[in-house]
Amino acid sequence: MGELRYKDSVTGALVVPSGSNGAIKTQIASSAGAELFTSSNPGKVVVDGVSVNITAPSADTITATPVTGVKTVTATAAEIFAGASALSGRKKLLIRNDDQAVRMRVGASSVTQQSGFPVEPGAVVEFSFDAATAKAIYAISEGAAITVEVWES
Amino acid sequence: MIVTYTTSGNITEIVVDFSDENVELVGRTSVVGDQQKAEAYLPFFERDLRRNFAHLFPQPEQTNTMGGVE
Repeated sequence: MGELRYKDSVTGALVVPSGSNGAIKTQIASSAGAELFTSSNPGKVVVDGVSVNITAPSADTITATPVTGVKTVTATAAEIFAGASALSGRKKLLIRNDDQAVRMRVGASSVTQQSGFPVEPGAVVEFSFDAATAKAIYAISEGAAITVEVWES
Repeated sequence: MIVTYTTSGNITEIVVDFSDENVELVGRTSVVGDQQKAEAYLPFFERDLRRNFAHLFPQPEQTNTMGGVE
């Protein structure tokens, strides 16, 4: 079985796909590591009828141990997170409204029972963050206190 | 449980420290509003912490209420 590699188009070094130094060059190599197609041995790669997914580390990639927790959302807007405080350097925050009837709202500290992003009963809302920038998310119930499940990573 | 409130603008930060219960846990959150709002929210925050970190708190001793076989 061979593998798909990415090579810097300027230096020729193998790189993690990041787009540095211009376009990414795709190199087809054998399982022994030898480049299969060169200028003296040209070849062709046909991708037909299949889908190709290329995944590289990104802001969405989980690198920290996730924290989960159950939180109570009341009629007072309060910061929402999974643990004892907001996870430092978090990239993801998922909140599931476990209540069967009461809607909640999430957003910045300006969130109220009438404004903010609504999260319906049973619904899940997901936030992605720049790990280097801490941003507090607040939640408020539109009615009685409700229970939500929270994931942070 | 030692509770500290710090209000800045319309945000009040709550810090709860369970070290007086010999539990190494400090919770930190903030609510929109003054200290009165924070005080009203505190019981929910405390309950969530005790539930999510139950493994840190000493569990009450189990008592046998079934009577057993004589």
